[in-house]
Amino acid sequence: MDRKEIFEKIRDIVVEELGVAPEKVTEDARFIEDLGADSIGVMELVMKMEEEFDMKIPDEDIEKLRTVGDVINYVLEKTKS
Amino acid sequence: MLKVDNGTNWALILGASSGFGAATAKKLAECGLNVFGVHLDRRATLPKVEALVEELKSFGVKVKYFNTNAADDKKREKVIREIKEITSREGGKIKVLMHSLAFGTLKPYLGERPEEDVTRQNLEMTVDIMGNSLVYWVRDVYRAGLFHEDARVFAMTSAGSHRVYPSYGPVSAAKAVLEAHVRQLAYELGGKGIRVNAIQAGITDTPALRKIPGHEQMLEWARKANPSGRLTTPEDIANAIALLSRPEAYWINGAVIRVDGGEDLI
Repeated sequence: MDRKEIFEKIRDIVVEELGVAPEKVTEDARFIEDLGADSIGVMELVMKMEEEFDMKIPDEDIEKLRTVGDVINYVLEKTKS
Repeated sequence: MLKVDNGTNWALILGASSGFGAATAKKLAECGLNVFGVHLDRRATLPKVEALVEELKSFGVKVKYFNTNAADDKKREKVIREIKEITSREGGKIKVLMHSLAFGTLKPYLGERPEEDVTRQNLEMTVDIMGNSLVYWVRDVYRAGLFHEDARVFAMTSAGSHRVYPSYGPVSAAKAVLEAHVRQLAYELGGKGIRVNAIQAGITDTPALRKIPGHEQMLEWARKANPSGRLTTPEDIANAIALLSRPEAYWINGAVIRVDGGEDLI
């Protein structure tokens, strides 16, 4: 998966889970401050991302994933083989 | 062994994968109720949930767990639609609805720095999940015609509804709201055969308690202070709920029932 594909999958998840307009979902957008996720919203996003990208995201990593771009980098890092 | 049902009717447990919810699911399955469970688990904890579901099935009852956010309107509606389909196909009504959702913000109202203060979003989310969601579930299950003619609703509260613990403010508020909803629902639904009560558990070592900053001190205090000489366990709560789900408990309505070995007297 390349950066663009990962971005599109994350954008779809964010639009579905948080009910925000697709154009608000940019690489710089912060989940809590810009996209309006509360802590249960973050939990749901993480669940969907674990499913979509077939990975486990431990608690200690969640706090580091503040923006859409952070998640793209995380997925790229974890899936490179 | 205590009997609640003969494998026809169902329990619906919100917060069914750990702590009080999981223990009650096991006890009610043992007592002959089929189990619907709603839980929110990531991949790390899913294997434990799968093992729990298998254990429930070993009692010879039907089990269906939904991994979804019980506080989200659309997701609640979807679960209730599925429950309606399953019960219209396989029979049975909801005899027990248990609210044991533990997901909230645990921090002081005034943090060390202003940016650490509790926010509007923190308070509203916590009160919504741990308090208000009871109303929506009970209402929608009722509107869907899913309640048994002699049904019980149990909402898990704590001494925090009337006591103070560090960092527990948002959850304290949610518990006070939850108890108000229990009274109102008991008033509106008592005449329809649905009895609504709050269960006030003593301090219990559950995954939810372990998220409270300072929980070690709470556990240490309760071990010493509890008049019955130990902490409350999830099984203590499950046993009480099974008893209160028996037909003989029909006249108990709108109460906050302490199941704590006498801890709240101290």
